[in-house]
Amino acid sequence: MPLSSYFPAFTWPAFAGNRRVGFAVLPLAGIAAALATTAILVWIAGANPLAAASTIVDGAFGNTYATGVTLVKATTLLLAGLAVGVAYRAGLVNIGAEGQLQMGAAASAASAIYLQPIVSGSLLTLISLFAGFIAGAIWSGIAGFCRAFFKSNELVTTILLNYIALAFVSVLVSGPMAASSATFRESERIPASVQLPKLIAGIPLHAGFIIALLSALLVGLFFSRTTLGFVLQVVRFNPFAARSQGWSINRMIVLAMLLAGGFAGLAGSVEVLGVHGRLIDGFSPGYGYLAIGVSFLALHNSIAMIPSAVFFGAGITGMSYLQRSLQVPSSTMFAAQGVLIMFVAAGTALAVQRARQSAG
Amino acid sequence: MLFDFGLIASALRLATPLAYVALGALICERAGVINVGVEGLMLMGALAANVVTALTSSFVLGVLAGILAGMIFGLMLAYLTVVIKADQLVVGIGFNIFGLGLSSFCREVIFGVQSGPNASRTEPFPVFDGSWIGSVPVIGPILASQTILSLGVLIAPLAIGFVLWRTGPGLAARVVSENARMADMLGINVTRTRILAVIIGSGLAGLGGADLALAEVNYFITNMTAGRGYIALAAVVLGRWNPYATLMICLVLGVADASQFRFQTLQLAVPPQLWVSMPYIVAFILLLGSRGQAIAPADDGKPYTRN
Repeated sequence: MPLSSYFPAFTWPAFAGNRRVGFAVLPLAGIAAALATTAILVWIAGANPLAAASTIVDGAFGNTYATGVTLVKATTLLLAGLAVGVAYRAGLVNIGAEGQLQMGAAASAASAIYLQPIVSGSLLTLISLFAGFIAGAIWSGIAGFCRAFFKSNELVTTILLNYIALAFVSVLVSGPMAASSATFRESERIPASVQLPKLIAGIPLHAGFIIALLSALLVGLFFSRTTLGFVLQVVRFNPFAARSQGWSINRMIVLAMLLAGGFAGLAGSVEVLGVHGRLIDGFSPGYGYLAIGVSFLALHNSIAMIPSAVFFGAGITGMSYLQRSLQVPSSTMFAAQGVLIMFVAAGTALAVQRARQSAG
Repeated sequence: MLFDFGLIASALRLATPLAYVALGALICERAGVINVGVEGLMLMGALAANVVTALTSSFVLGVLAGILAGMIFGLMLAYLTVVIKADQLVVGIGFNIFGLGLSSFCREVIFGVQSGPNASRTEPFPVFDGSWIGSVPVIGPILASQTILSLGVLIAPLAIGFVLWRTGPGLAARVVSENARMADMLGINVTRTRILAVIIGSGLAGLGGADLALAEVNYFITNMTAGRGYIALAAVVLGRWNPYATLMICLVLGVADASQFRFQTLQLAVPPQLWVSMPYIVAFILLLGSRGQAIAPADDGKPYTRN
């Protein structure tokens, strides 16, 4: 029996491959809904939506520096978005990217600071990135393990782990890892030779951007070209196939979560090594939660997540510029993102129902 | 002194918002809808209660506003999950992010972008005069000087249990959650039952938020629920979809929450942030014992389509 005969009718991959259900319309409808929400909230906050729109675009892409900042945000969001998407395609809901990112940042900073007497330069950068990946993977792996062997719902465990990770990082930078001369809760600075190099002089865009693009590409190839990637996507939806082929569902759950969390951990590493140069308490403005929107807007396709991450990155920089210039709260963005996710969910349901009806 | 009845009293106070939200989620699940959006509902309820009380200085109006906010957004959630039949988990997560953004947006528009908790501060919530009960051993020290909302949460499971197991609509809801197709064949309107349950449950989630903003603290800040909605969902599972057991789980989590302040005053060589994360760690450990998911209503979380 060929592997493809195990596709149940409307699991995620089959649905995504079915162009007839108006699949491409969904992200556009989601974006339209998010923009409409933003316009309404901007208007409530007492600003002109059209003026705000040009302010947002100006803040996000107004000059090369602003564009660089937008792409830096997109880098972190893309890696964190992969953490949501990889898990979702395996049938798991990972809303713990924020915590996985924190743990990745902590491990990355710790290795970059404490391994300096042993290694240095770009070798230490690689070790630090690897440490971030592993720490993120372990943090989500805990949730995956508990899902597989204790039936603990990963939706709840991942969010609990977020708050534990935030407290853990806060403890680290106010005690064991605190910089000797710090007024803020932050670690010692990582030497410039260990930080990620900037791609173009004078623009904050760092080499993590390449890492994020490569990661998205690799995840895309993993799901479309490898047997393991295929198995990971169908195993949860077809226990019969899993049993007859000897795949362990539990092992696949843990594997999917490990891989997912690894990318979020890498997102934390990239923040530490490419943006801040140190571990700072509360460095993330909710990247892990914005990553949920990044993944849903791309319908969990890792390549589509690249423009999706740029869209959200532009949202962060544009909205913070809007807050500074027109006093419109940047929390507008979270409201718009929530509407986007609800629209994509509703649209998916309607599209699937229509496809079922036309299939008779 | 690490343990005394004062600890139980503050545990009840801290468990009250969580318990209302958990009972609200339980009502939804007892009609077959997993309401993941309770975190966002709680935030909207907290915001509405805080703003209305700050403007009118009426606690009654504030609490009512919290319930109403929960019910209005509950109607929206019911439309998406029951009528459109969108994925309940995804809609819930989306709504929580929406609620986080919208409640924070409203706070910033009303009280100022840079405002701290003081801008939205309200008077302390009046406590129930328990001087007559204070002399009763055990119960006295626990129940005296609680708010009416904390006393209400002790009675709420009785009311919910009575409706679910002793009345027609409660039976209808339970049939819908166990076997929606059979309920439909029996002439029960599955869609209407679920919408009503989600609205009532969401109202309770809003009430939980109102208690958090008015009684547990007396201000509103961004993301003040800090994951309580998700912990409430866990409490329903741990309480095995039983209102009394769910309340007990919330009280256990309340003890974990209350004892962090005790530990902080001990001045141990442990950073205070570690104690802050203790309720989450306790909830996580409790969740490891939630293997008995077979007890979940059979059609919980499954949209129903007649064909």
